[in-house]
Amino acid sequence: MSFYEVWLAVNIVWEYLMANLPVIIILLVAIAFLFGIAVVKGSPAWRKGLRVGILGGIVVALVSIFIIPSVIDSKLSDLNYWVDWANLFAIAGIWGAIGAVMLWPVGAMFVSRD
Amino acid sequence: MPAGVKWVREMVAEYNPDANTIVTDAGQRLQYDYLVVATGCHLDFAQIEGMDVNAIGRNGVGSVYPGPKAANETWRSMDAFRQRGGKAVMTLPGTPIKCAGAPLKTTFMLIDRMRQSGTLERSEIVFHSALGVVFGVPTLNEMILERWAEANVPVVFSSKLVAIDISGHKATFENPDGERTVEDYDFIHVVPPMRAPDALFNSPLAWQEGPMAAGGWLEVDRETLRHRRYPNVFGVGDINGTPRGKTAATVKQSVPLVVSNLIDVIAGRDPSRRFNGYTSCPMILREGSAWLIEFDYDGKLIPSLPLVDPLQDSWFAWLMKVQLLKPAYMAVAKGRV
Ligand SMILES: Cc1cc2nc3c(=O)[nH]c(=O)nc-3n(C[C@H](O)[C@H](O)[C@H](O)COP(=O)(O)OP(=O)(O)OC[C@H]3O[C@@H](n4cnc5c(N)ncnc54)[C@H](O)[C@@H]3O)c2cc1C
Repeated sequence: MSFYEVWLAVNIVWEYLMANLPVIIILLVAIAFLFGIAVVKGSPAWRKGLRVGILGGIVVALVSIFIIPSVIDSKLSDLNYWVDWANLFAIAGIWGAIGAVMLWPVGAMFVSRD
Repeated sequence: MPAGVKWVREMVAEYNPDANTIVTDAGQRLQYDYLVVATGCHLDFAQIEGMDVNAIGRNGVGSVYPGPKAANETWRSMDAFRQRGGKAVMTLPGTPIKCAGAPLKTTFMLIDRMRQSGTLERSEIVFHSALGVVFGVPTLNEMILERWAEANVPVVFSSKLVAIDISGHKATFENPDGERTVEDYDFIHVVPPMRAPDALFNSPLAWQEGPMAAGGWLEVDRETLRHRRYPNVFGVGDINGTPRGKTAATVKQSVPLVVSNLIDVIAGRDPSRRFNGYTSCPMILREGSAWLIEFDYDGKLIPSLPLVDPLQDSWFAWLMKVQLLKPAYMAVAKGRV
């Protein structure tokens, strides 16, 4: 892979993010808000909350596998070979990670420290 | 527009490469040391008797080529047709065209939409190609024809759309012997013959002989993209009289190469970079599936992503087409890649 191809990939991702800026801002604000609440509420259980976040993230990733194809006007049955599946899993993984980050402070607020 | 560039918002009406000047449609004469021509294709609807671009979207006439509005209107026509069913006539001219896959994608999408609407079984789709193939890369040509045979879409080869009676819903085709046949249709997809815009077509910069001369395409060397007779002239994009290469993907690949070859020439060196004719066309097979096709001048498949199989029906290729190509083109349009 040449430097040009890496630069091209970076630019595609950048333009993609810019085209979806409202969604990204909403997600960032929501994440900041949830972490803020967790801190303000006092004594969040970050370690235990992380467990909740990871479990929640896995659920979000699994659900995303079924939802993502329909979001781009396609069906799960359109996936044909390993490259398709690898990409679907990668995208689902990204949503799972976002879900985990959002659920972490939620878990930290509601799970008891002991 | 980058700083230091003066944008003359006038069309080139005349090229005088012997005097290193161009004349604009406002009558301005501009002198140049080096010239880069990037004026794209002229859609020659006038070669189809009776064709009216304003009719796209009405009377079952579609053509995705003139621009986004026409593409939307074509979809309206196609959508109305696929609900009812009937007879669709799809066309391909004999000239080089931009995105040679577009007429084929449109056909694949029509088949898919009709299948979704349940009207495919009681309808007829026929494809007229003015050539002996539907696509210039032999493997892909075979694969496409196989798919269409399975979907009961016959192809009439060497059959050129020469006239259309829009209100009468009739299309006239001509074979190389000059014999004419008339097809009735409920929906027609008109793909215009293409050539260089008039100013270039009529200038000394156009090919004077050989297969590209009829279209008046820019006579560039296929590897350096430098003019073969006027060494201070380069070409980029659809205007180039090269085999294949009329896609935005070609523009993306060849612009950096032309820039660096032009810099070489300005510095008194020979052009150092060589173009392989990179052409790319995501071929939509149905909603949710596509082939990510990339090939060179010789029709050899040259996938940029090493693990992606260009001949697999692929959801990933569909994902690329619907989600990632627009960001890629935006980056190109902003001059960053
Ligand atoms: C329906 C359709 C689908 C396509 N799909 C794909 C795809 O999936 N992938 C892909 O890579 N490509 C695709 N393409 C092809 C792609 O759009 C073209 O190859 C690309 O736009 C060519 O760029 P260009 O700059 O050479 O020409 P153009 O984009 O046509 O630009 C030429 C410019 O020159 C100007 N001009 C013309 N004459 C003069 C003059 N005399 N003086 C001054 N200016 C002039 C024109 O006004 C225009 O602005 C598709 C095209 C169509 C129509």
